[in-house]
Amino acid sequence: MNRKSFSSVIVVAAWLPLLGEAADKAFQKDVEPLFKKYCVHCHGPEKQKGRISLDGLNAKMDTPLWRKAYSQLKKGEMPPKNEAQPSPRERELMAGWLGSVLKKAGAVRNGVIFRRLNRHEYNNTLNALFGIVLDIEGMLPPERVSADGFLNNGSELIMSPLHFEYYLKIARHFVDKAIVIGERPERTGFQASFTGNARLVGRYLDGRPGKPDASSTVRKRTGDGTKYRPRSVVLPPAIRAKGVQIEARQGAKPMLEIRLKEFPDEGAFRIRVKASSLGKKSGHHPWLGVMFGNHLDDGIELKQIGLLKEVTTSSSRPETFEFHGRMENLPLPFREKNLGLQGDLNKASICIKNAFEPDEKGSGPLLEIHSVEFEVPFSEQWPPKSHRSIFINSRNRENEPVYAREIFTHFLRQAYRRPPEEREVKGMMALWKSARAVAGKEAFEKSIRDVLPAALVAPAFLYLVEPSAASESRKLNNHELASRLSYFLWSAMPDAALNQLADQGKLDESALPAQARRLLADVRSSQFVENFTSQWLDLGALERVAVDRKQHPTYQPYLRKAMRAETYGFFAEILHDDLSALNLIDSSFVYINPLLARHYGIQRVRGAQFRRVEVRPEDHRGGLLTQSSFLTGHSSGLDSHPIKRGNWLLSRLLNDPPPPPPPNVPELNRGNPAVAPLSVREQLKQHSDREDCRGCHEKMDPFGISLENYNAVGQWRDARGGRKVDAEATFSDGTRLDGVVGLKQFLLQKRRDQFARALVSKLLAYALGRSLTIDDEPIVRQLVVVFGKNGYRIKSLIEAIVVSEPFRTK
Amino acid sequence: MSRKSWHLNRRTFLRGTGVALALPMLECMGKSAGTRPKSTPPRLCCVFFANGVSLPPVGHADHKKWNWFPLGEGANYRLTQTLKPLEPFRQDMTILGGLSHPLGRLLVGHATADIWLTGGDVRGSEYRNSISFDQRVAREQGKHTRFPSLVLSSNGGVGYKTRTTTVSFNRSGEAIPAESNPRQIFERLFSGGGTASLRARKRQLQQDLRIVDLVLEDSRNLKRRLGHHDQQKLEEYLEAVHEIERRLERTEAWLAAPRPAVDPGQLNLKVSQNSPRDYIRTLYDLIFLAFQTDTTRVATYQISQEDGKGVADRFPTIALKLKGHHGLSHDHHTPGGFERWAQFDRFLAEQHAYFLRRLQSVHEAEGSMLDNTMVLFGSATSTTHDARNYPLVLAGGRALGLKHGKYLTYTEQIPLANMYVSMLQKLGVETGRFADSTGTLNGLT
Repeated sequence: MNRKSFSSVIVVAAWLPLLGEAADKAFQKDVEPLFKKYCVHCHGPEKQKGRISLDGLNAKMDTPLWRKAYSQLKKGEMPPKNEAQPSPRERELMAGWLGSVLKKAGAVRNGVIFRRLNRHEYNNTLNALFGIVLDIEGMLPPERVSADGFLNNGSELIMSPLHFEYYLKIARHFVDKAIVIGERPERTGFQASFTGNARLVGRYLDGRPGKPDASSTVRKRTGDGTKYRPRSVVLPPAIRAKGVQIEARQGAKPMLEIRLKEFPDEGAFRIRVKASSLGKKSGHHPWLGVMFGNHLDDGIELKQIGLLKEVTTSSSRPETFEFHGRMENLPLPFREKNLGLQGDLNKASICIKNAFEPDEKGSGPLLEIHSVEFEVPFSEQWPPKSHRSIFINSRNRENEPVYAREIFTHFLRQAYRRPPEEREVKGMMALWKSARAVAGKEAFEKSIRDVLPAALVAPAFLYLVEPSAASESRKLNNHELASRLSYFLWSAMPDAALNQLADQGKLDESALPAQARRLLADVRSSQFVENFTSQWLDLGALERVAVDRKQHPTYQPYLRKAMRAETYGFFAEILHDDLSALNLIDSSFVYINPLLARHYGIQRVRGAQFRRVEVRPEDHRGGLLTQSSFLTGHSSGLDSHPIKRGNWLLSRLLNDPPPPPPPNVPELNRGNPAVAPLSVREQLKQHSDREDCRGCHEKMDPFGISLENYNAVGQWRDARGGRKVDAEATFSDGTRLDGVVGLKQFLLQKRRDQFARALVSKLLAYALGRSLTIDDEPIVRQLVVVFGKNGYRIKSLIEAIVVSEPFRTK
Repeated sequence: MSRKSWHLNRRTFLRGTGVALALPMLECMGKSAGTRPKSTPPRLCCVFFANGVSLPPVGHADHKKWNWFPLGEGANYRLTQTLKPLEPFRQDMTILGGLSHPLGRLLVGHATADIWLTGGDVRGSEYRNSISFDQRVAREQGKHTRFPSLVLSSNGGVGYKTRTTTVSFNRSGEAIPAESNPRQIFERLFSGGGTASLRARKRQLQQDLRIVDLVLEDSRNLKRRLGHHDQQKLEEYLEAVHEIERRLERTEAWLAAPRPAVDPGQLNLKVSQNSPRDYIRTLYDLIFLAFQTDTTRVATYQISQEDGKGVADRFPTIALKLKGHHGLSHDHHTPGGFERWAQFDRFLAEQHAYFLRRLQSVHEAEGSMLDNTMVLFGSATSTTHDARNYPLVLAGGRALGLKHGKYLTYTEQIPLANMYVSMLQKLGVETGRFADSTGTLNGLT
């Protein structure tokens, strides 16, 4: 027996336990020789092409690898063309057998797992539960990314003592803020208006003497021919600070900055700004942006409060705009007693700017600020809503044990996303009794406050619990479905309407699509848009790539943010307008703001906001492949990186990830003087002309090459290093891609089904919170058909997913 | 992982009688929580960086200047520019060459942080690792301190297989999430009790224990209704809660002991990963303070993650205007490539020297704080993807019995775990084995 066949005997031995005895015989007779003949000599003990060795596989199964082998066999990608090919019947035998093994393995391994809320969902859920928005996500360790790129995969979401420690801490944090004990705290803040010379007049709301400082960055003269106004501050469009290595800490100029020495570090606040437009002449209106800032040694850290607001009314009828937030979420001076900070470093700043994107000369419509008011803690009612939603109205308020039970029953219903069991309420009551034993003022409120955190560290809160004793699947009940639906489309808990349907048992096949539509129409669906797109498309790459600022000085953190926002907005536009998902490959429009418009060289976009803009061929834009979020994230930071881009396209858009490169391959270094003058094809050829590299690179490099017209930060270029860009690529079968236009045509014509299938698979995996298995093949196939029939509209796909069997069963 | 029966009994006992009686119970169960040893405590800090180091081959123009490993051998070695910042500690450190984990050599690519301290077997599709060396020490030394160990990394969390963002693994081989936010680390270590009175804190703790009790009871109930795989996940949760329960009991014992007064003014807690030098130093500062106050005796810090993942890959770019770390590690064949890479190696050595200097400047009963602290600094690949000949510097711990002053080299017959055994024995862990060790390491003790 030579080594080769010995190795396949190992393979067989490892596979055997999965099959019945009759199947063994059939396998030995018909299938095993085929694997020996066609596979093992390249993927065995002697050679491990693509670092894949089929003799290392065992009964535990490396499922992703096996699925890959299965799909490559089926698609005819393996064995490679220059090797002996199995006959169609042989191929079917091998694939069929692998399929059946995978199916068995899948049945053992998969199903939606008891999954923890990831830290983002957890934060959203707490915010919704208490009705207060606290940004605590960063307190928890980052989540693990699943092999398919998602952050909501049950098997990857681990629990550790550190997690639990923080869960308890955060629970207390929220409950302490939600429940207010004692008198309404005194309101602080200020009211300010302006006199001549843009000097601030005003008063503190708590009657302290003095007034806040206003900074002098406001221009005294407005320029632009407008006369100086005596009772307001006039702000021309602000120009952002540039040239700071990491974060633009210099803010924008000009800004109206009001500095506060005294401020609380917790509580809800409201900022009101009375403003008007001086932009009649240009036909444009200014935009109002309000930020909170914290002075640091090297500048100012700013956080935008709420959204930018377009100001349209004239000076005689100024409009009042409100901005809400919480002090806890702001960058505030770090006031430890021994720190001894001096001057401005002790102060918090409210900064107001005209967010209209200025043109090259720095001009645009003027914004007029009449008054500013800041109030904290802000509450329309006392006690606030968060308090009242825990201490619910009841006739039994005087009867503490009865009232406590009502409170817990109500709270657990929300927190557990289902009616609580009697046992659970009893547990809370027992805890409450010991907490109530401590007497004192407001002892009842305090006792409730002490007990509620217990519910927030229980599995019923932290996990999506879908009990099922047996290994066989069962239909989900209405409450479980409601949770799946809301975590899918809102990354948060169900709302009252969804809860009510679930309580009534009405969340059936006919109600689910309607609910999905309702959830998508709600603003909270931005959670789905952002989480799904950023994970599917790996937008996090933008934060990982170190862009060379010398070569690309316009690449500033705010541009990076805009790049991300473009992809979100673009996806949302397709989703909400019910457009074909093929627009993701090629579209006649883009979704950009003036900042990106300038980055892309599209001249006709003014203002501040993102909007849909129709493109012309000379813009070279349309579809995800032309968006700088992808192009920059998968560049080298210095130059384009055809391999990274090609890899992204294969893995993310087409869901066909190539295996990782073999070890000790030098990185593609296009800056190397020896390589730089070569054309991109020559460079890549040099890089991957090894036999063990070629197989994968032939599949991915042409994609990257066809995008060569986009530089490291996604801007169009006709030439690179003095030579005309060569963006013509050829696959090994002779198919040619002529630049980005050719690429998009190719994808739409030749890879449409693969793309549709990829989107279906990714969306389904995200909806279920688990990786797909071979068992999901039929449903994926079915969904792809439905998707196509419905003109590739994403909403229709989502509606089909939420009534699909895997979504409704455990 | 079932609960031991004594555990249940004790909890029942605790609830019935109040916690004041808990201490003697803890002690008779072999936990000496609350009692500090008289002598200076031994400590361990392990600092990891990814992607290996620049090693221009012998004969290369940059070899003598930028080879991470020194020239020569034994006591007469000569440091190149790379480790020059560590020169002042020559008599307090040993540079080790040739060592690696035999199982690590079988892995290709990037599974380095996973196994650096574990020597574990992470082949195969299931993730199975084993306890890390630091946690083995924490099991002994952690009994004496408020926190058994401190697990830090620049990226935070656990990362994923072959690209972990932590170098510490618990007894079951599961990754321990690392903390990365200086402010949060500070608060957790030094200001947990706040200003509340002892009575109030005691009440809070009792409340915590009751909460833990309730969720444990709840979960046991739930477990019966879950399928096999869900049960495994719930088990993970139960383990975490049990560990917190143990920690609460430990806190109980520590309640009366005041938290060390640490002045946050001496720390730059607002620093972020966008200022690598200051960030790395702040993390070193936090470890230093935790050691100095005997808040913990065991710490790990993973400076960067393998393979260009995570924010730490940009450290060379921000600090030195070079490429990303992983990019640097692949670029050595280009002109000046070795030197550029080595500049970042040197940068890391400078920050490390800062830490050693701090430790050295504090005098304790038996020598300096450095003499009572073992500080391991290194990686688990020599150059990227080459899982042999790990670059390692072991400093400090002379008062614990380590001998220093040499550059020692070993053959591949000697597994790295042997060094861990030698260190364990000097750190109060009575054992002759760790991972795949075959004995102790010659020349170190």
